[in-house]
This record gives sequence, C-alpha cells and structure tokens, in this order.
Amino acid sequence: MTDDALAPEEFAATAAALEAELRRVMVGQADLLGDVIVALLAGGHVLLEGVPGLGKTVLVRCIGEALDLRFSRVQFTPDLMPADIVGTNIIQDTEAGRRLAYQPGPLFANVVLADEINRATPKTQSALLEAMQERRVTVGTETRALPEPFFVLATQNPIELEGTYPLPEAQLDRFLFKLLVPFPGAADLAEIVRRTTGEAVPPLRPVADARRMLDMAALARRVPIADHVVDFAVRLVTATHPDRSRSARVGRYVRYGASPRGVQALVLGAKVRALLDGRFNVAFDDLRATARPALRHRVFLNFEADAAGVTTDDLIAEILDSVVADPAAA
Amino acid sequence: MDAAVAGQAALRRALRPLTRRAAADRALGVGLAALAIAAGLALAIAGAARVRPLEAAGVALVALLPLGLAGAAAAMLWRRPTQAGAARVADARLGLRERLASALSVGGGDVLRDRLMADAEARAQGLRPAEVYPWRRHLRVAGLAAALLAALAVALLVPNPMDGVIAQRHADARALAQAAARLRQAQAAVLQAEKQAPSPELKALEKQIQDALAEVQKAQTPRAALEAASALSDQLRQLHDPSTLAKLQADSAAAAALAATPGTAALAADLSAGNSSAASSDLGRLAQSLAALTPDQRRQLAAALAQAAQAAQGDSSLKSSLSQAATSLAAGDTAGAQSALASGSQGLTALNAQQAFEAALAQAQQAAAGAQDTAARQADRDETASAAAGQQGQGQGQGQGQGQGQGQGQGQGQGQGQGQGQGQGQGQGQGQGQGQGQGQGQGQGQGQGQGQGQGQGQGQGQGQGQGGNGQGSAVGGAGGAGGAAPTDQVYIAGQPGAGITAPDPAPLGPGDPVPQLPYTSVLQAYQSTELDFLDRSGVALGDRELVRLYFSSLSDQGPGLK
Repeated sequence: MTDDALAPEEFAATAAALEAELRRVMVGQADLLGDVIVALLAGGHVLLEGVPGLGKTVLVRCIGEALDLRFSRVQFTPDLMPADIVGTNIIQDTEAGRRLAYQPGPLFANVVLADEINRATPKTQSALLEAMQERRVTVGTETRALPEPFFVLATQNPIELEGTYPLPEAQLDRFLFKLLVPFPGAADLAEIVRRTTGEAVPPLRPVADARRMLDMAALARRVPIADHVVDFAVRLVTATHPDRSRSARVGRYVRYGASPRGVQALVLGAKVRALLDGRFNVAFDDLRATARPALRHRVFLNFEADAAGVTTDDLIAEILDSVVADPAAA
Repeated sequence: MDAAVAGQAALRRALRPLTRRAAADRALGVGLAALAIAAGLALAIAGAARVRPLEAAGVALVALLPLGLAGAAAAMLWRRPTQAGAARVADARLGLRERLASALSVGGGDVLRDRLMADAEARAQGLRPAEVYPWRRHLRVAGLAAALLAALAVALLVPNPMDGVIAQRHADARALAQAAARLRQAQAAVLQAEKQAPSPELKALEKQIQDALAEVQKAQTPRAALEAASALSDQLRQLHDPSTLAKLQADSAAAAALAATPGTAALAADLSAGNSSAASSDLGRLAQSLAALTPDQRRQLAAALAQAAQAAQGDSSLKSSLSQAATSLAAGDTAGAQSALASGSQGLTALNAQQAFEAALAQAQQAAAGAQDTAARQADRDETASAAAGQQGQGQGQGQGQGQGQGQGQGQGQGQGQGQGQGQGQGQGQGQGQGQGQGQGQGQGQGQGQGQGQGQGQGQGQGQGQGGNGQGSAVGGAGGAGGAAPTDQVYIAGQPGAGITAPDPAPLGPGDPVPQLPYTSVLQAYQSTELDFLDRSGVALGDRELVRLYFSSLSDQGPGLK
C-alpha cells in the first residue's frame, strides 16, 4: 500500500456519503441499503429479489446517480438475445468502404441494472453471467474487457413465475450477495407516499467516481483477518453441507451446501463491514452479519424443505446459533 | 518492518499481565476441578465402602489427593495458557471484536496492520486482567468441591458398619493361620518321631495331619477350618490304642515283683519307669546271663519271674514270656528260658514303638484340639455377629445365651479334661484327657490341668456343657440379610449364666486329687436347665429331641452310674 492510498477514514466517509445520498430517495430498507453498499465496495454483483413495486429498480438507478459511473439498464424479456446485451458487429459505410464495426451493448457500463433477470432465456442469462464472472465479453473473434468497476445489480420477482427461467445454481453463485427486498413498514410507506407524491426530489449528487470505487475495493481486500476468524468462516460454510453439518435440520433439508465462493463472499463482505465499523480487522460479528446475504443463494434446499416451509435464512440462522465462533475462548 | 516488530513486541508486553492472570486462572480452575473430581471419587468410594466391605478403600482414599494434584499438574503442563489464547479470551469477554488476537496473529507491515496494532496496543494498555478472568467464575466449581468435601467428611466421620466386617475377615484370616500353624507343629512333631523310630503308623498319622492341614489352608471360613480340625480329631481319637496304657500298668506291676531279685533290679526299674526300650535290653541281657547263674539263683529268678508274670495281667505278651521263662528255668531248661525271655524282649520293643506312636498321637491330638478351639472361637464370634445383624434386620432382640461348660476328668497323673457335650476322658502319662462327645452338645466345657506325667492310671472323665438361660437385648433397626439362618448351629462362647454355674477347675498338679461329684447330684439340675434352654433357643427340633433322648437314657441308667 502506497502512502497516497485511500485512508480507512476516507473509505468510511465515502460509504457514509453514498448511503446518505441514497437515503434521500430510498425510504427505510436500512439493512438492504447497507448490504448493497457492502457488495459494491467489495466489488461484487448483487441479486435483488422482491415483489414488484418495492423500489428495487429505483435503488439501482439511485446508485447509478450517486456514483459518478456509467449506468445502463437492461429489461430482461424472453426475446432478449445475448447480442442485445453484449453488443454486436454491424456493417458501417465509411470512406474506406464497408466494414464491420462493433457496437457495444449495455453491459459496457460500470453499473448495469439487469431488471427481471429471470425473464430472459438461459442463453441470454448465460451471456450476462459470463460477463459478470470474466468481466469481459467475446463477440465474434474479439474479446473486449468491460469497464472497471463493473457492477451488475439484477432484480427478480419471486412471484409471477410463469414464463420465467429460474437461474441455475451455478449462475446464482456468481452473485456476491442475494438481497431480499422486504415490504416497508407503515411509517416507511407513509414517508414513501409523501416523497413520491410531492415535489420532485433534486437529482442525487455523485459521491465517488470509478477511481474511488476501485481504491475502496482494493483497500477492503487489505483488511487483515486472523486465522481463527477465517476458521470460523470456514466452519460456517462447512456447516451448510448436509454431510458435514451437526445440525439435524441441515442434514434433512439441504440438498447442496455453499460453494467455496460462499466463504470468499463471506470474508470479503466482512472486511468491508470492518472498515465501515472503523476497525482494521475482521470480527466474528462481521461474518455473522454477512452470512445471510452471502450464503442464502448458495444453499439449495430439497423438496421436503419446500413442503415444510423451511427457508435458507432459517437454516443459516440455526447454523449461526450452533457454530461456536471461538471454541478456545468459550 | 522494524516498526511493525516493535509494535508487536509492545503489544506482547502489554498483554503479559493478562497471560499471567490466565495462567493463575487456569491453575485455579484445574485445581478446583481436580479437587471436585477427587472429592467426588472419594465420596463414591466411601459410599461404596458403606455398602460393601472394601479393604482397599482406605488406601484409595489416601491416594486420591496426590493423584488429583498430579493430574491437575499434568493438565496444567499439557495445556498451558498462551498469550494468543488469553488475547482471544479477552476479545470475547470484553467485546473487543477480535482486535487483540488479530493483531497478535497478523502483526504489522502496512497501514491497516499498523493501525490495527496500534489500536490493539492501546486497548491492551487499558485492559484489566481481573475483568477478563474474574475469580468468581470458579465459584460454582468451588462450591461443588466444598459440598463434596463436606459430604465426604460426613461419610468418613460416621461409623462404617463395614469396618466390622473387614475386621472380622482379618480375624478369620488370623484364626485360620493360627489353626494351620498348630497343625504344622503337630506335623513337625510326628515327623520328628518318625525320624527317630520309623513306622507305618507314624507315616499314616503324618499323612492324616497333612491332609487336615491342606483342608485348613484351603478353608475360607473358620467354620470350614473347624470342620477339618474336628474331622482330624475324630480320626486321631480312633487311632488311640487303650491297651498301651494297660500294658504299661501291667509292666509296672511286674516290676514290683522283680525289684527284690538282684539280677532283675535294672529291669524292674526300667519297667517301673515305663522305659520299655531299656527294659527290652535288660530282658535280653538277663537271657544271656542265665547260663552263668547258680541253680539257687535260677530258682530265685524263676520264682520272681513267675510272680512278675502273675502281676503282668494287662500285658499278655510279657506275661506269657515271663511265665514260660519261669517254667523253663524251674525245669532247668535254660535254653527254653532264654528263648522265652528273648520273646519278651521283642514284646517290650514293640511296646516301646507303640509308646512312641501314642506320644506322637497325643501331641497331634493336642494340636488338633488347639486348632479346633481357635477355629471354633472365631466361628463363634462370626456367627454371633451374624446373628446380631440378623436380629437387627428383624428389629427385635432375642438376647444372648449364656452358658458354661464343665469338664471333669478322673484319673491319675495329670488331668487335662476337655469335655464337649458329655463323654469320657482319659488321663494318661502324656497328660491329656479328652472328652468324647456323644450326641449333640449345646455348650462347651473345658478343663485344663498340667502334670508331669509321672503317674499312671485310668480314669473316666465326664464333661457336660450346659447352656444357661441368658437375658440380653439387641438393638432393633433396619438391617440387611446375613444373619444366621434358623437351622445354623450357633456356637456361643461360654459365659457364667443363670443356669448351672461352676468355677473353672483349678490346674491339677501331680498327685492332686481330682474333684468329683456324684452324677445323680447334678443330673436333674443339668437336665432341667438344658431342656429349658432348648425350649427358649432356636435349636432345631431334631437336635432338641436328641438331647431329650440323651437325658432320658442317663436317667434310665439309674444311680449306679457315677
């Protein structure tokens, strides 16, 4: 780390400013906002799940405004083709004659809103998810890097599933976090009414540019984590596996446990939380706070769990209660 | 990097008090846990020792304390608290969000790590070890240990009923060892006699003692040893040959007739002294000297031999030899007289061997009686204790019987009379009289005497054991099984009682008159007391009937019996 690198205090201040800007539009949803910011600062993609009208799209659009980044939105529909998002070669007439020219798709932005991602065909989903993982796209014979930072914030609707294409497990794994957008409380709902039916909210002020976002992600990765804390993260993820967990409910209801990307997401999110908390090390509580968004889309339940109404959040809560953070200090 | 190393060193210095406190806390915790475990184990052992007789309980209790301390020390050495461990505990208990342990683990080296180190050091400086390791954390274990120790103290202070059982076992073992020792002494005596004068009878006697000794050594209880010793006594009694004494008396009578004749004075003295071996030699020498005697001397000798033959009625062999020698000598048949005297000499040699056997037999009988007595006394004590335990179980006391045995012997020489039930005792030169029991005796009687065995004679001894009516009480209460079964024969040590009382006979010296009582003067009282006792005691019906028949038979014999 060089001397001119971002200071931890600047990290926290930028994050606080971003949250403050978002709050100018967003009402309530404090946990959701916090988790989205953590994911962005960790450099990861986010899958937002919630019924229509809860502000998912607004949230992503606000993020695009609050960050001095290129923003694009793709409304996923069954007839959306991969070329529609990654771009395509078109014939152009030039002075030198006709030639193929690459026309970049909407993925060539820093913040991409993939609205209702589960409505696109697997082919198009696959193209997006490949871009998310590789951070580059290949059109024809040419491979092009996507701009940095590159965030995908996808939304999906848990209802109206007819004519949708649920994301496969391997592709869900590409998202750092999966965040659930809850229905607002009565007070928040009243405030939403006041804000959206009155005077228009002034445009959001950008609080960070691409450079700052990259520096913040780099700083977050430098946060030290002790071995015994890593051990706790590993034990948490291991406990989601039915053949390794001590929990009877995990053994009964879980089909597959979290992948190694799960523990990576857990630790990355925890590092960001440590900095946001003004600390320079990862604590057990950081891991606990990150466990649900980082693991809920990586733990796959069986039919019996669906029948019994058991959710991944239930099982993760049970795992958090049962796994001792530091046996040596217990 | 130097700054990073210095920062970590400073953090380690700041954490030293915490580490020391962690070590003290662990020592206290492990020590209290070891104490609680040791006290718990000791309590369990003490409890078990109150239910079952555990002879090693005391050793185990004493060994537990050092073992517990050693275990605690081993536990301390095995997992000594580390600084990192103490830091993790401080993080967890003070809510430091893993600052201290992370700083120790990752060290310094860049801006974030250096900031972490500085943050951790600042918090370590203000840290109070007592807040991380408060002594009150051990209150529960300390309370448990104290409670267990208190319970253990109570368990150790309250008398343990199993101590009596263990003491009884030890007493049993001692009694068995003493009985075996007595039998070994008898065996040694017989072996010695066999070495001096080997004979098949002595060898058989030694074999019987050896068998009895093996039985006693194998016995688990005094009662078993008593049975073995009693069986040996019975066998030895049957080996006794009463004719030996008669022969000695006859020889002594013959000696008086020979004493006046000059050539037979030595023979007379040896016969009179019961020295059959020397008398045999004397008789042989007399036979050799016949040819050198004058006719007058031969006549005198023939007359003396005839008188001696007439006196030696109890020894047919000697009588026959002396009579034949007297006849041959009177007829001038020196060779015939020599042959007769040689035959007499052989008879005396055989009598000498018989005397040796009887002497060894007497020693063996004495030893067997001693072993019997030792085992019987211990069996009495055991069964009295068992009966008391059984009565406790029933919650009421039956009382303890009091009885006395009396043994009387008649005879000359010495008198040791030992009577069991009723029987006849014989006095002998060796000085032992023994009653031979018939029927079922309820008491034990024993008379003792000492003598040098100079006298000879015959006598009859009677011993009767009489159990008196006793009054006693036993504390009732809850008790377990283990008392004497109703059909068990209970030996009760003789005590002066309300029945027939008589002082122990004083030891008799040589020539002392043996006290005698007319049989009819005591029979009625004995019978009344005994039957009364039988009615009150738990003697089996068959045994009661046997005693009644016995007294009836005595009454039928009338006043002629003494």
